[in-house]
Amino acid sequence: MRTNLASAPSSPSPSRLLWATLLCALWVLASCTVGEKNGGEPGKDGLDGTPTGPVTVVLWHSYREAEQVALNQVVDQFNATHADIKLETLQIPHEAYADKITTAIPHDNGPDIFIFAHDRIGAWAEADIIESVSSWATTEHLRSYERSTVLALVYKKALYGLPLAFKSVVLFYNKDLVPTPPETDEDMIAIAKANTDIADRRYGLVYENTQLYFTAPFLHGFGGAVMNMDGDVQLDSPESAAGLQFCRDLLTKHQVVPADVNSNLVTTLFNSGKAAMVINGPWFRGEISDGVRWGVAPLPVVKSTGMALAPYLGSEAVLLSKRSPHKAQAYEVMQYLAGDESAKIRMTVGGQSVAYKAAWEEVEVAEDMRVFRKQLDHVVVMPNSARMNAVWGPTNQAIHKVVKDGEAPRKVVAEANARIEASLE
Amino acid sequence: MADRPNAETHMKLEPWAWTLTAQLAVIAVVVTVILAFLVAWEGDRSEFEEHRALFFARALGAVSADQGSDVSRAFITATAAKDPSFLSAWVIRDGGEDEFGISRGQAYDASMDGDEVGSILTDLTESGVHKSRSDRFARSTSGLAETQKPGHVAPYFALDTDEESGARSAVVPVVRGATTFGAAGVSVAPTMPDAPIPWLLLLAIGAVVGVGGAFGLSAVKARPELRSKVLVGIIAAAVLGVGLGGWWSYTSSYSGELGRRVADVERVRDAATSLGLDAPAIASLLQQADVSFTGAQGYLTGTAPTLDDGFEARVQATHGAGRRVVIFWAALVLLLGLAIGHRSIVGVVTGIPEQPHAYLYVAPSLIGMVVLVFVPFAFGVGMSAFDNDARRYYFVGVENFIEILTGSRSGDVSFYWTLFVTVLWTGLNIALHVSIGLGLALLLKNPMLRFKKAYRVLLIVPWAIPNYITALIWKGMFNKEFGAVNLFLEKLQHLAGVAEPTSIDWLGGSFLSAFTANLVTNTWLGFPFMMVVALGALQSIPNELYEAAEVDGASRWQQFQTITLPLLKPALFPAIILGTIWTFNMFNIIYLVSGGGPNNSTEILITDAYRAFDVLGRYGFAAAYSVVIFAILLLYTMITNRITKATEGAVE
Repeated sequence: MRTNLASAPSSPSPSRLLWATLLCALWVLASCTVGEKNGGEPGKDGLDGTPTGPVTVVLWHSYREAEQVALNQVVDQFNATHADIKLETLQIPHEAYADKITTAIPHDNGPDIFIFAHDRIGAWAEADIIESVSSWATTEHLRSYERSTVLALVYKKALYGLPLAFKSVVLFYNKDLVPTPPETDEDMIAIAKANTDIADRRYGLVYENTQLYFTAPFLHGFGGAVMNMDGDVQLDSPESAAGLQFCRDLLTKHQVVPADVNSNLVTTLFNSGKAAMVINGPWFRGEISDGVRWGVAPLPVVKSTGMALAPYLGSEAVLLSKRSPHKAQAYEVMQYLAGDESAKIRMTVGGQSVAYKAAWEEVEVAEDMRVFRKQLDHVVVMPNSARMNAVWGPTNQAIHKVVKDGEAPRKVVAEANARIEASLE
Repeated sequence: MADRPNAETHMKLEPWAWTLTAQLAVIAVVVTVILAFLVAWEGDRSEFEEHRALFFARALGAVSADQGSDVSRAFITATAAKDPSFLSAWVIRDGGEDEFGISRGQAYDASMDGDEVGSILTDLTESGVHKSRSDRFARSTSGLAETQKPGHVAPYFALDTDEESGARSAVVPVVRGATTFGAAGVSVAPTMPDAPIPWLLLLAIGAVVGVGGAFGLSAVKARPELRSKVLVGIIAAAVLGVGLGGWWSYTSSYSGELGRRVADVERVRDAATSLGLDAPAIASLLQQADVSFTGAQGYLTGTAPTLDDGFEARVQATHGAGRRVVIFWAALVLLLGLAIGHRSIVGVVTGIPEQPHAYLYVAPSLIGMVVLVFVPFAFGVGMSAFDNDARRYYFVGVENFIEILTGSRSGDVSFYWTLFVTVLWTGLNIALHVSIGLGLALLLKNPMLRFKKAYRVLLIVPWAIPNYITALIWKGMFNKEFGAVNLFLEKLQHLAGVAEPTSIDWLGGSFLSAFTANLVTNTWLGFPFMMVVALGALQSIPNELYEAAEVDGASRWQQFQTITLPLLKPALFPAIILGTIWTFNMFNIIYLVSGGGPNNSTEILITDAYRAFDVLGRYGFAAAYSVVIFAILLLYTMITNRITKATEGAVE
């Protein structure tokens, strides 16, 4: 038996040296990582010194096609008229956009300003990802935008962006099947019944009937609600139950909607003339095929309550990053992007329903755009609180239980309400 | 070719190999325990610093609410101005809201920087400090409606940490009478040290123990049979030593922490006394400043504060979580190390000098596996001890696992139902895959069959198409009104003469219908794999066996039972184990076809973990879920390995 420490099998000293080096490296590595402390210079407050050259402001967005063309025009116009600020844009694919913002900004890899829908403002404000602009945006200036689009951007008494455009669902209808769009819910049901033939697989009204976003108009039309802007859960009420019962009746009593709907089906049915009316948003215009004569109308009024079917309002806004080193200049860009010149271009070239009120009077707008604006009179701003995230799952399940399984609505909304509140604890 | 290390081989190891092995094992254990301890320390220090900021903010708010602006300014001078750890202290007066609900006209009512008093914040917003105070003011004063009580500081607050300096800021609303007057804020720099004992010292202790132990081992060279025992003993001693050392410094910090808390209370009390507040006012002030302090109020009205038993118990209880950390991690590392580690480390250590070229060839994939598999795995396991909200991560130790195993997530489907569905899903799928695959393989084996190659290609197609696409197509086929399946069933019912054909709502109808839809889809996807394996294995069975059996008069079924099945086992078992693990984690089908089914009833474990990750954003919880799934599959693999090895012996 070998007892000599110095001797070793085939490759003696090199392999022992290798191991010894590895060990030392491991120790050094462990020391370095374990000893990491919070340190470094204290954070800067915000840059307000005079810049020597043009300041570069970076804008992120996820626009495509017409909207992107419009935005690029606006950017070019801005750069041509402002010598001290250079505006650059970067397009991010929509699927990864939200995550990219959430991870990039805290690590100082994000933009100065970015365009996004308003519903994440609450979460982002709490996470110090966006900066409030209340101090720069005077009340006077804010009156130049549609009121509900501004309200969407207020979180805990602070304003977090400037509104660019708004969107909500409206009633699309096939002009060949529906000569005049309905004004009340009873009209809508009558028209739908006339256009439904289940054996022929034609339906009078097609919409995603298990999704909260598309069912919300019915909830609101009967006086119900899911959550208010402060984040209070309001699902448990007889009005919400009545709204869900109406959706159930559409399926079982009047039998004018299909049971198993997804977004592809909605498009396919409308394009093949098998759906007389569809509840969908402005993005749907791009999916309608050329052969279909379509029109839009505001969602009808519920006769029994006198309230309109009010969909959720999405306010697309330009938001300011908390980590931007040039906040004052960035706000100047924001104001331009939301302002008059930009609004006219975005509306005519990009087809957006802009939030800047005056632009609607100054340009020629198509009839369907006017309908989107008319719907603005009857919308419910989607809550921007982070608490809204907890709402989607249980509420979709509640809708499923009432509409598909036929359970008693009152009990289901009470249960869902309790579940949402429990998960928010 | 080098022998596999086995029980006999490692007894003949060189002393230097033992030294290295021992050093590696001990260092790994020591580093892990130290890291875990430091993480726990940081978590509890965070809690303490936040509590401190909140305590002073609430005290200031209570003074401003009950005693008025002048007294609050004097209070700031008496407390914050005298302590260098206070970075700022202020009270901001609310200016009201405009027609959009935006807070306007906020002004400083009191401030550590006397010049600021009376200035409107919007005028000062060039500096980000005032701007962020303005935001925090707005955030803390909104949402007060339900919690307002006249004269009391409501329990609502906003808490922030400055990432670079570690300073903690707390803002609380100030309510005077029935109206919200404004908010009070305090920002304090951390006062507790970064670590109780310099980490270098701890690491040095660990290294000394490791090296000393290793040399001790080599001194035992005369008695080789003792080596394993000595190694285990040294590892246990090292863990115990470091654990105890960490424990000691950790517990000794309690008194340091308590001392600081008491000192803060004393400072507020003294300042209030110097401002001329009487005993009841001071008691009320302290009660509002720290609501959980109420039980300890008795000793604070005395002249010399002493520690109350109840107070210490409450402090111990809140820090109990940290204790579980050290024990949890040390136990985990020790168990894993002993169960898996020491033989393979020994094997690698002896193998490299003997066959350096072999390891050179393996090195790239070894490095790849370490970087792509083991490092993320270790990261995931480490992550499972944390939970997070939008702002930061909290160390929670075993809480995630407890939450999963006791199924305490409110309203969601229970873990055990999901486990049952997963097991049922896996079992049924494998049974179907194997029977269909084997059956088709037997059919294809028939020498009389023509176009065999064409059939083989066609039957591979389900497996070849990405299962993502297949799942979406099948989902469309299961649509209630327009799906191919229901159309087909309708035609069948017509043929059978049924007057009013019923169409099944597959994906939304019930657990059974959605589960069946998933099952059908995955069976369509999965049988080609088993078929290919069976085909390959069937080729290797010599025909003479069948001929001999026919001569002996065995029927086809008997031939199948006695010849085919036993000879297929060595090929099928690995395939079944693989298939089980794949099916157990078959995320795509469940997610894309039924989406978890009506009311989450068809979820399997991996889709449930995904929901925690994607919907709830609780990354640590999802990581813990993945660890649970891994543990279940590991257990399954170890059991089946034992069983298949046992049957292998029987067949030979």
